Amino acid sequence: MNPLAADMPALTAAILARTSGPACGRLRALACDFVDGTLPGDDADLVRGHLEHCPACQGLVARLRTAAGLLPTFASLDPGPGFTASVLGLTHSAPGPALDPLLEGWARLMRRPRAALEAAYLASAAGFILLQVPLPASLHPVSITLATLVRTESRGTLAQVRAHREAWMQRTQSFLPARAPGPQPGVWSTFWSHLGRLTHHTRFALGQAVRQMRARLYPAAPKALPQATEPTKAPLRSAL
Amino acid sequence: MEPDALLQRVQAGDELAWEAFVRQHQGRIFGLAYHYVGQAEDARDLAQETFVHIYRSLPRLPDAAGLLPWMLCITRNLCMDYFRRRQARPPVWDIPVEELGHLPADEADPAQDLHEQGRRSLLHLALRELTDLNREMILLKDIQGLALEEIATLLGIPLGTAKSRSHRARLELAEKLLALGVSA
Repeated sequence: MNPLAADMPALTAAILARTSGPACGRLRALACDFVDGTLPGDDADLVRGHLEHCPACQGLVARLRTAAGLLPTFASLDPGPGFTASVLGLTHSAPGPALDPLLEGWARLMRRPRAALEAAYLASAAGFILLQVPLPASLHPVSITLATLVRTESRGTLAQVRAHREAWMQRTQSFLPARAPGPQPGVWSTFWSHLGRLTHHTRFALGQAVRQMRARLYPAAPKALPQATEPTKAPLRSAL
Repeated sequence: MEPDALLQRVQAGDELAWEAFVRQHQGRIFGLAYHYVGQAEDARDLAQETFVHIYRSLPRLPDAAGLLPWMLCITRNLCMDYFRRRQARPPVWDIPVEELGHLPADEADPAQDLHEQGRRSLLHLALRELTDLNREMILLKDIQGLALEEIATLLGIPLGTAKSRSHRARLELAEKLLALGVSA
């Protein structure tokens, strides 16, 4: 062996130190592809050449190979003996695939926050309508107490909603530019009048619905009309 | 049985085929859930939930090639929901080393088996020391074997980002292994 060959690595290191620096950083960028075997031939040759002379990079690539060999064995774990039976039991009792689209669609809809809020809003509206219906006397005292509590809370919430709405409307109107007096109504006044009309119609329709529901729920107990309270006529002056 | 044929039978409502399907995939599903949540009981529940979800989606199952990524995606989403329910707790990797006996070992020689078991335990320790992002990347790519394109779709990141994250994660893991003195 040529005695000068032993000095070659040191010479290479010295030259690299004075020129481009060590190539370990470049190797780190290529090491994964080299281990996977996806590196093009020329690059792979260069990597192999560097590895022959760099123990640190040799160690890194060796550990990459170790990890690549061992990690896939972590993929599958035994869930235990009763797992399959419990899954089969669950899927046996689960609704079949025929019902799937409806249930799946409903579940997906309910996972959306906005849809859930809308559903909560509709439920609140329905609750508000139902709250106007008097409770039957035959109901259990606990249920009556609970219903009374719900009503009280709901009324408080509705009062808060009303207060918020009024504050919001006042704030909105304060942002609006001052309207010049004139015979033509502005966009906002048209909008508010339309909104008012719409609200009025909706309230009317809701009131009708509540009345119908009440009539359907309590057909046998019509509310007794008050006695006619026609004011007594004053006697004719001629009769006096 | 060929995967496509099994899938067709499962979709046709064959209960035996469904049982075979569950047995075939339960290890992977449970493994992913276990590596995410770190608790066998919760992982078992999540794996069951995954299969119920799959059962309800039978008419819309992907083909055999896309099945595993699809199932792993469902499992991961359920795991994320689990963390969200538990107040956004980050994935834990507190799997005790002694529980790694779950892992299949192919070696017949007991000495070799012991050696491999030790290496796996150290590898697991190294995995626990990774950052969450890098650990998830190792879990999806190197453990579950998903392609980078599938991981990019699953995580909602560009392909280039997935690739660079995977490289970083593997290098970090190799350095941890070096630091732990794992033999090559």
